[in-house]
Formats: sequence, C-alpha cells, structure tokens
Amino acid sequence: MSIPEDVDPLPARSMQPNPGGALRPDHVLGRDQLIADYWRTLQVQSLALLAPRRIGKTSIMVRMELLAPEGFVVVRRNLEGLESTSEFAQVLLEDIEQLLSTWKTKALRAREFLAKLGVVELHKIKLELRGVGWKRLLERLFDDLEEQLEQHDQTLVLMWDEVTLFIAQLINSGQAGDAMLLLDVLRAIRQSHPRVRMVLTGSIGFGELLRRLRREHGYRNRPLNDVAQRSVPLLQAGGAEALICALLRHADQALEPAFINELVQVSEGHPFVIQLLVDRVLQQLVPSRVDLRACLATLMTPPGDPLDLNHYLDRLERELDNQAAALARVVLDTVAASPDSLDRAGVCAALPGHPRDRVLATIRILEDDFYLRRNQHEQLEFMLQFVRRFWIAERGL
Amino acid sequence: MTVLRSSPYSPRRLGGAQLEQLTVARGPLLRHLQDSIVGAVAGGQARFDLLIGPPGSGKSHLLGVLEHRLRGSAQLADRALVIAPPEQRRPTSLVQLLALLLREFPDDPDAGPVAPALESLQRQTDGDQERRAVALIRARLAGRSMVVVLEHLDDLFNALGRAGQQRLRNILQTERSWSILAGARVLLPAFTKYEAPFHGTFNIQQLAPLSAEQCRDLLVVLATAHHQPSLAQTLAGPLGLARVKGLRLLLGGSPRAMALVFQQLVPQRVEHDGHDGHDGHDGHDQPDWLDPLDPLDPLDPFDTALAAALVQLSEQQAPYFRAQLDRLSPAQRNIMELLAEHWRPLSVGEIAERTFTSHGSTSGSIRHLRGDGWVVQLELGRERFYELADPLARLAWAGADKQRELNRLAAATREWFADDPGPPPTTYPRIGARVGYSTAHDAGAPPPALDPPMASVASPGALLEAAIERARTGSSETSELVRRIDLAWHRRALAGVGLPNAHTSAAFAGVAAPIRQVLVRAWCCAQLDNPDPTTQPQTEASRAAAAWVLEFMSQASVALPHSAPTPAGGGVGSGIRHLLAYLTLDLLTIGVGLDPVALQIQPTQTIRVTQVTCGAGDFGVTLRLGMYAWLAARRPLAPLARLAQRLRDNLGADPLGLEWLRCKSARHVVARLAAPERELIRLRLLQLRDTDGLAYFGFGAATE
Repeated sequence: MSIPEDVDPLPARSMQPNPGGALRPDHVLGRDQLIADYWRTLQVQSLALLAPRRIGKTSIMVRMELLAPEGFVVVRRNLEGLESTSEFAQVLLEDIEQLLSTWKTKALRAREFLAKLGVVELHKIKLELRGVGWKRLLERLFDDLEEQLEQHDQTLVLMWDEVTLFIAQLINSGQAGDAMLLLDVLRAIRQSHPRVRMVLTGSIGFGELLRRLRREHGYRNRPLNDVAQRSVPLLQAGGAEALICALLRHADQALEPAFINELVQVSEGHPFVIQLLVDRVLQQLVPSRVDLRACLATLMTPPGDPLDLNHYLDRLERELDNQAAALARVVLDTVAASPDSLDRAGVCAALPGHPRDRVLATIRILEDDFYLRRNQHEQLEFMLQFVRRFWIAERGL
Repeated sequence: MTVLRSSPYSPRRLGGAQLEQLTVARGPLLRHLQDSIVGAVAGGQARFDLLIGPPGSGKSHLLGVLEHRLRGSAQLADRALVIAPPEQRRPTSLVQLLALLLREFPDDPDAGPVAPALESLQRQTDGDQERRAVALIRARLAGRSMVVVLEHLDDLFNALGRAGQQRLRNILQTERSWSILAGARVLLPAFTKYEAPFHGTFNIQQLAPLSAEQCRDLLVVLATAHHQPSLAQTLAGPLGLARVKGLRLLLGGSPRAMALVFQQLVPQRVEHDGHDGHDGHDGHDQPDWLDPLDPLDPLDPFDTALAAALVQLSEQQAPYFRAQLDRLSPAQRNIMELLAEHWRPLSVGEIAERTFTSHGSTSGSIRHLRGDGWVVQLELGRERFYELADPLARLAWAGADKQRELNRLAAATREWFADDPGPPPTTYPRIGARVGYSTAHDAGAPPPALDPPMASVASPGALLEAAIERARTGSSETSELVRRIDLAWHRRALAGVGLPNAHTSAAFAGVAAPIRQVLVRAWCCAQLDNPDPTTQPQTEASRAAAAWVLEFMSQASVALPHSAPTPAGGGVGSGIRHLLAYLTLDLLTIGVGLDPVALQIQPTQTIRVTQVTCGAGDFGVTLRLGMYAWLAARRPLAPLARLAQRLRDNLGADPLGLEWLRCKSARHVVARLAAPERELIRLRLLQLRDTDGLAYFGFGAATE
C-alpha cells in the first residue's frame, strides 16, 4: 500500500479566488503533506479532524478522497442537517448500498432486517425506525460490509463532515440518549470491524460536546479514545505561498515576492482569509501590498464582516455559565496582554486570585474551542494573531 | 403593441439587451461577478454570491443582466445550466425550492419532460421528497454544473429556519457543483454569523446607492430609451445635475426611485415640450398643491415638472406602500404608519406612547422591522431612534400636510443645490446606520477631497478682515468674502472682527450692493453676537446695531407691495443668498430677544420683508436654511426656540419645528430631523471643513 508523499511541489497552477465556494479537489493547495500524514494515521486508526469553521476541513477531505491510497475506498458524507439517528442510518444505508453496488452485491442482512419491518423498496421512502431500530440496522449493515471488504481486500474510510454539529443537533432536539448511544455504537463498530475507518470532522470541539453530555446527562464513556484527534493547522508558509501564487497567476498579476510575503504574513496562512484578501485586492485597479492590511481591517469590521470575529466574545457567554465565562475572559485577557509568552503555569501565576484547577480547566476549554493553542515550547498563544488584536481592541486592553 | 422600455419593479421582464442598455454605474461589479462565476463554474467549482441592498437598489436588475450574460457565456455552454426561477415565486420550504428549480429545467431528450417528474414528486407523500428532488435535479444535470439565480434569499432563509438552511448547505456541500447567485434586502445573521450554517459561504456585495451623477446618468439613459431627447438634454446639463442632487437627497440614491420619478416626469415633460399641443406651464399658474405661503417667484418649468412628478409619485406609491404594510402584523403596521406619518426619527418610548402599546412589545416589533429592513436605527450616544428605511415610503405617506412639508423640503434642497452644489451627498439610509453614516465611503468610494480642517488654518476673523480690506479696495472676489463671512459667522468669530464702526450700509459704500447688505447684517450680528442675546447693549456700536435690528424688524408692520424690488435677489449667487438667509434668521432671533413683548410679527409683511431683504426666494426656504446653519454651528437653541414660538403665535405656523427645538442640544435636534435635513447639515459642515462639527453630530468626521 503506497502512501502519497508531498505530491504537490508548488505546481504552476492557476485558479480563481473563490472564498466560501466548493473547491475542486485539485484546487486544494498546500495540504498534501498534511494529507499524507492523515493517510498514514488511517492505516492504523480512525481520525477526528477538528478546527474552527473556514479552515478548510471539507476541502481537505475532498482532496483526501482524491489521494486515497490503493486498498482504501472512501465514502464521504456531510451530516449537517440530519435530524435523527434514524435518518443517519438511512443515509449510511444509501451510501453503503451504492458502494456495494459497484461490487455487484447488496446489503443483504440490512435488507432482511428492513423487510421484517415491512420496508421493501429503498430510496423512495423516509425510514422511521422506532426505538433502537437504527442501531440494529447499523450493526447488520456493517456486518454486510465487513464481509465484502474482506472479500475485495479493501479498507473503507467513512468521511463524515460536521459530525459534531449532528451530535449537537441531537442533543439540542431532546435526543441526547440517541446521541450517546450513537457515539458508543460507532466506537463499537470501529472496534469490531478492522476494515472500517472513520474520519470525523467538526467545528465544535468533541471535548465540548462530551463535557456537555457529562454535565447534563451523566455520560461517562470515552467514545473517542480509539480515534486520533488532530487539530487542522493553518497553511504552512509554503502552502500559503502556493495558494497565493495560483490565485494571482489566474489574474495575470506579477508574482512579486514582497507582495506574496506580505499576504502570507497578513493572512497568517488562513486559507479563507487568503481567498478573501486576494479577491478584494484584485478588485482594485492597481493591487498593492499596502492595501492588504486595510483589506484585512475591512474583513474584520461589522456589519457583514465575513469573519464575524465577535463570535469569539459571544460564544463564551452562550456556552459557559457566567462564572466560567468571566474566568475565560480573564484568561484570554492575560494571554492577550502579556508582553511575554506564558505557559499554563505562567497563566496560573498571573491569576493568583483564581483556583489553579479552575484556571487549568478553563485553559483546556479554550484550547478545545480554538481560542488558544500551545506552541512547540508549550507556550500559550492565540490561535490567530488577528483574533488576539481583535480581543485586545474589543476588551480595551 | 406597447413596448416595455423600462420596469422599475420587475426589471427581469426586460430583455438582456434592454437591461444592458439601462445599466448605469454597476459595470465593474457586473464584470467582477461575471468573471468570478464563469471562472469558478467552468473550473468545476461552486460559487456563492449574494447582492444585498434595500428594495429598489438594483438587485433584480443586476441579477437579470448576469442571468443573460451567464446564459450567453461560451465557456459555460456545455458545462452548466443557468436556472432562474421567476422573481415573483417565493418558496417557503426546501422541497418547494427544489421543485421550483426543477420546473425551470428544459425538457431533456434523455430524461424526458419535466412535468411528469414534478408530478411524481408531488405525489410522493412519505416525507422524503427533498432527497428525491435532489436526485431528479442531479439526473437532469447529467454531470453539468448548475447556477441558480435567486431573488429574495432573505425571505427564503427566514422561511427555512436553521434546520432548513443546514439541509440546504448539506445538499450544496454534497453536490459541490451547484452555485448560487442571489439577492436579498437585508444582511441576515444567517448569511454571516459564525453559528449560522452558511457562515462565510456567500461573497457578499452590498449595493451602494448611486451617486448624484450616476442618478443623473440613469435618468438620461431612461430619457433616451423613452425617446425624450429634450428631457435627456436638460438632465445632462448643469441644471439637470443640480436638480437630481436635490432629488437624490429626498429619495435616496436608489435606481428604482429615479426610474419612478422618471415615469412621472415624462408626461410632464411632454407637456412642457409641447408634444401634446400645448405648453402646460406659462410660469404663472402655480399648481394648487403648492403652499400659498411659500413661493413668490414662479418655478422654472422644469422645476414645476419635477415637483409635479414628486406629487404624482406620492400618489402612485401610496397603494404599493399600503400593500406592503398589509403584509405586516397589526403592531408592526401601526409603527410603520406612525413613522411614515411622522417622517422624523422617534424613540421606542415615543413610539410606544403614540401607538398605545407597551415599551416591551414595541421594542420587539421594532426589532423585527429592523431585521426585515423596514426601519433603520440611528444612534445618539446611548439613545436610539428609528425611522423608515425607504425614503419612498415617506413620500407615499405624504398627505396634504406632508405634501406641503415635502414641497418645503424640496424647495430647500433645490435652493441648496441652486448653482453651487458643493460636495456630493453620500448619505443613504441603511440598516444599523449611525446618524449620517456614509455608505458610499463604506463601499470603498473615495472620501470627498477636503481642504485642511479649520483648526489648522488662520483664524476665521483674521481671514475675514483681510477679505474685507480687499473688498474695500475692490480687489476681493465676492465669493471669497462671502465664504469668509460665512465661516466667521459659523465659528461665532464675527465679534472679533474689526468691522467699520457704522450702523448703516453707507460705511460699506466701497463694496458692491449685494455684498454690502451682507456686511451690514454681519456687522449687526457681530455687535450682538454673544451667548445671551437678551443682554442689554453696552457699547455705542452695539446700541446702534440693536436699533438697526429693531428697525429692520419693525418693517414687518409696513405693507410692502408685491412688486417691491428685491435688491438682493435676481442674479445674486446662491452663496450670497444662503448667507443672507443665515444672517436674516440670526437677526430675527436677536430681534425677538431684544424686544420680546412689543415686537409683533405680522404674517404677510414679515414674509415679504424676509423675502425682500434676504432674497432667498421664499420664507420657508430662508428659515430652513437658516435653521440648518444655526444647528450646524451648534448655537444655543433657546433664541431659535423663542423665534419659533413667536412665529407660531403670530403666523400660526411652525416652520422650524418648535417641538425639536426644546431638545437639550443641537445634536439631539439634528438626530430628530428627517434624513434629507440631516444630510444638508452634513453637507454644510463638509463645505466649512468643520471636522469637529462632523464628529459632534456623529457624521464620521474622521473618515470623511
């Protein structure tokens, strides 16, 4: 089985800026090294890709599918908008039936189970599986699948986008029991079907979801302890450069190193910001690097700011109780305003009036929720420097 | 057969060539969108663009142009289908939207006609129609991309709710070759907020209002399309531009407003051109809707046609506005009616009081009205005021009383832009706008060029003294002298100027006649210009000035013939007329303060005196321009309120708005004025380069 190495050595590609659009797999640039790493992980275990919105998780999955190594077969599905585990089972059934049809076979056990329920024709009805019927359907479906995967010597990678959103939707709509059971069932499937891998993505951290299930519903399991959790990074300088060059090349713009370098710096390698900046700059008569910082400021100015940075303030209020939100703000203030880098101990020391355990727990929440990250020296820093600047300005630090 | 040459409400009924012909000012945006969509779709990507603008801002027109261009694109010919449901169809669920798209597909030789597929979809009753509809569309696309051109995306998203939006996004993320080009009135949180499913998906283009020049260009284009060469020629000239600037101030820079005015203008203009065999206006027969108190000078025929067009537009818009209101809840309708009737911004408390509802429910209704783009919020510190978002709605509600108000406002704007139009207006009502918020600037338009702020140049008094000295020797430009006096008056720096110590115009004998009148008034104002105009005069000069002012005021009791000569009128530039208006108002306030009991202001005579002495053409305009200048100069409100009270007592009229003059500061008064009035004040501050004033009123001095 061959794992693709960095197959994208900055080819002379050209592509139109398309912020927010659905990109073609060969237009996803600067991610191949990361993707190769992910595929290496998938050799042995499933993967959870976590990142804030607009970092490019979906695009990475699309390109991963294109670069799937031999012996792997990919089924990709967006779970956003699904309303029940029953609906989830149905879309999974459809996806797997489609896969099996390429091997000229069917999900016989699953169909037999459905026939018992009186369902004879799929694809034209919406399943309403009562109780844990969906769980039984999933179990039979994976039994069907395992047999075929074995026979064709393939490993199936189920790439599920927006899993955390789906789980949150279940919790919010009074189906927390189903949500917990689903997490357990999926873990059991991974354990019992060695030819099945999952790539789970979400813009809400799993940690946050599990904390909520624990707090509100007494959930004590650890349904992801078999999954490698990866935080999707921003583009490295080389990747950002590749993307910028491709976008500028399309507009027949000269690829001036100073301009490209400034774009890399200003965007911090955030692919969405790069797309937005290039799109805006190219609308000007004479694109210039001096406009870049002004363009970024525009992107951060309400109303209609595409980055909606205010959510960094709002989310704390919404997702934490008053006391926890207040402490989170203090921690962020401390990290933002500190002239020197601080590690976790440093933050605790800077906040002597707060219990150490609570400060550490808060830092963990803020890391899970993409406010902060730890660099290679274990120093805490804002995940995005422009968010730090925003925080300083908004909080009057 | 009648040929449709333009359509203010349904531009997409026009053909592609007609739409292109009527396109003004949006060329670069259209090119950008066309290139971006074609590039993305031809490259196998999906792209999502959204045009945001209030009703009438040209969204449908642009969508129509782009629809035709995309359909005609050679690059997309075999790669994509452009699906554009009719704008009047407004789906309220995801399956309705999908069915609507399906209906627009052409019959396919392989997949068969669309109708049976739709019927089978409609017959399916098991609740899984969405997935089925997606499958049907996918099959008919047969590997091609789809560009959906949609109107009213805000209405659709509101109807879909979060769950529906998530399912729509899921479809788009799964299909990955369905692009959307849409229009929406308001920037919903659903389009931008981080928690919303479509966060960061749409490339949002907020449509800026047309500039005055662009409005004029649009009217010229319409006149040409409607074969009105004479009208086109008038509009293309300086008078046309000056009048369009005034129109734009009243109606906003929306293309629809201009197109509607044009519709009303055409028959008037045809009469004027004599195409129907008679000249509709001989310059003497004023229409009966004009305020008999206001004008003495007959309007120019073109102005008469414009004024009549506004009246007709008001008449025409009333049922449309009423129909719009009928779609609202009773509570929201009450608020809209109040704001429409009232014209000027009101606070929640005032609205609640006047609609006999609780503060809480009023607040909730306003929140919804704001969210739907009906109402805009103005901020003044921690206070919030609300007014109608659409200037046309104000017009539509103009009954007999408001028609008079509209005429006065129109006259004030006409006078303002008479022949010295100043910087172009850039204010446009919009959601969440601050007072005087400049959308043009927000949209990236270059800020108006300004001379250095006042603080950085020599004092106004010194500049004026130098100008007067030059005037005495005949070497000064009149316009320069007027500008200097105006600036000194605005800065209350007249008192420090060494004006000749005389109380008659003889002291200014060396100065030409119109400007001499200005100097006499300026001298009087200078002598009596102090924070409290009721203070007894202390010096010989101030006593002389007071005597002159009282003499001036006492002329009110002298009946002047209608044909009295107008020394400052006829041929006098607008700069002098405006300054005379400001100084006259100042003298009136001083006069009322000096002799509050004995002085009687008689209606007709006062009007005549004012007209004759200030030459501004009509009393209402004089008072209005004077009041705007007074407010812009942040002068004390008490003297103005005293004058307003006197006018109300003696004239039975309230041209200054006594209610507002009881506010605690000029800033508060300005925040309660109608949008065009606020804009006139902003323009005056811009002309005077008063950055402090712009900041004081929240007009964004720093960015101007």
